Amino acid sequence: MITNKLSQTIYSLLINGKAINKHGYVSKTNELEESELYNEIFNNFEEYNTLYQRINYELVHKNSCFFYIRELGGEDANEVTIKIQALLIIIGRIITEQGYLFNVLTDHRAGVKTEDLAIATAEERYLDILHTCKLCLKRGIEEEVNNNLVARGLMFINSRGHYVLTEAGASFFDELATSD
Amino acid sequence: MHIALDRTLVLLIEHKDLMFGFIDYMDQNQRKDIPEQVFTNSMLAKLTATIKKNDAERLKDAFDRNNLIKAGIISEFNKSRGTIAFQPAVIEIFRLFDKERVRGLRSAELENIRVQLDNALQQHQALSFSTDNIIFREQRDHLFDLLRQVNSQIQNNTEHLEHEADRLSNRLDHDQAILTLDESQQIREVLQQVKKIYDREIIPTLEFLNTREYSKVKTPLALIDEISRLYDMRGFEDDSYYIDQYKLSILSHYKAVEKVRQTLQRYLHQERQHRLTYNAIEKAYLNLQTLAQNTFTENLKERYIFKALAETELYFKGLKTYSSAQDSKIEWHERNHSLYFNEYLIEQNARQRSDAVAEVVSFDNKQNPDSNNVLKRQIRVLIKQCEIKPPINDLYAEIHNFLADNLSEDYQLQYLLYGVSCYKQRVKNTAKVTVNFERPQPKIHYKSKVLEYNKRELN
Repeated sequence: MITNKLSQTIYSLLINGKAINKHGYVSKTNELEESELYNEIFNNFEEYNTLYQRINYELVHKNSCFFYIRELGGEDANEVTIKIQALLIIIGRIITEQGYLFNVLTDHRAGVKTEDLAIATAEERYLDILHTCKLCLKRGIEEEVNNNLVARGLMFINSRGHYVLTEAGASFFDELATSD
Repeated sequence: MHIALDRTLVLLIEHKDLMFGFIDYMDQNQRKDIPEQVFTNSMLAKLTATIKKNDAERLKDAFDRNNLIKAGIISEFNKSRGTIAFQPAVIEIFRLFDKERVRGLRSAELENIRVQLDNALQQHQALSFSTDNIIFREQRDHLFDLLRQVNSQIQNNTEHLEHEADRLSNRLDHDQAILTLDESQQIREVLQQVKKIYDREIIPTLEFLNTREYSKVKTPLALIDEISRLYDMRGFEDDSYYIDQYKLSILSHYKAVEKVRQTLQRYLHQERQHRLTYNAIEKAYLNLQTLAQNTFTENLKERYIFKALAETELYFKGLKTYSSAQDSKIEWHERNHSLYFNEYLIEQNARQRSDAVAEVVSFDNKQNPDSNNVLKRQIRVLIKQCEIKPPINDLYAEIHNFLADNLSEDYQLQYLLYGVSCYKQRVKNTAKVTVNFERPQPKIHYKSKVLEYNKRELN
């Protein structure tokens, strides 16, 4: 049965374009913990699905690890998605091109520093792509990552201050690798 | 001054690190020789590090390039290229001193062995088997030399692979927690080494030792089998038996190499996963780059790549756009709102009471003694020292009794509110106040005054 309090929190997150991941990061313990919000949706998926359908949204469950909502028949949200994908691809490329293990981006104890990502705005090849996605025009890469990835539950900042991909962020790369 | 081969070799063995350095250089750079400069620098470093003057002199003479050439330890000195190559046999001896430096057999070397065995078979097929035939005797000696050599090479190869598998898996298992980019880079390099050994050494060795595979090209063990049958058919059963023994000895390494393969399998899987991810990221990046480049046209309308990308399937398709106007979050400050609400209800009740109940005493603030009067100070001290502890069923009644007992004649009912307030201050971090709105309200009668109040429970 739906819990009112959790349902309100879930609504507040989903309606603001945030993903709800299966595990959440707890900075005090530097560990990942099961998310009660995710479990709440998972256990009452049918009810939540109906609920969101009635207000013209589709509750999307991807890769068995995160939820988000998309507007039914909506077309105007692509710009956001493209910005997110472009940022993720460029972050992934920066890490892999330098010969680092991709796991560093997904291990909640590791992550990458802002300085490691600074190359995105320092090199023209990355900057050109970012500009054509309306990214880093006035803001720095840190601000773009915070606004587009951290605020949306696709990345989080761990206790070392490093950026780490959440399950939603990592599953984008899983999908890339499997569909390739 | 010329020093004999045996003496020079003994000195080189005593100072193995020098030759190990050369071997490492050749392995790292995948060369069979070393630059003259490397040789000279290593020699100078060695001589400088030698403390005893006599020893240094001896080493200088022994390790002199010309002496090493004369002794046959250096097999080739190419002046124009400035390179030095050591006698392969000498290098192999030094490799045996240290398992880490034993080289595995690569595809080309295994193929070379196969070709040698194939040649041996063809030679034997064309021979007349007779002990009087000198060519047969030579071929037979050559065959056994070859088998001995192959057996020993395969054994060294197996030991090398086992050692490498141990070394690499220890490294990978030990470094499970990858916390920095540098660590991750090292792990990736180790995974690449695993892949290299697997592809270049393990699989070729297993193919070499495979007896079941049939193709146009005969496997080495099938070739040995055929040679053995030739000897058997021509009446040389003893030789055939020994050839079979060599074959079995070589074959016995199959299991060990297969075990190594299985050990490295999971790391290989890991490496494959990384490779797939890398390739996928690269492909996605190149696609993005192409789309971005296409926007650099004279058509200023298409400055962004949204239209082009929107046609492809997007992973987070339809993700809602964030807007502060949509923010449904209610800001709840760090306050206990139920208490505020209770206070509001009390206020409401008090208003109703002031109209309806005439006997309720209301206290005029102007008449109240000022905050620093003696009685208030006394109450503060008393409350501070009192032993009233939660849980308390009725805070007003409890404090009233306490103050009436301790202040006797000085106590008046209006001081009860001050006492309760002081007590609430004292326990505000440790206890929780709950207001009870029961009807009728409890009353306290004291010195012809009545206080009607909502009961406070303390937990």
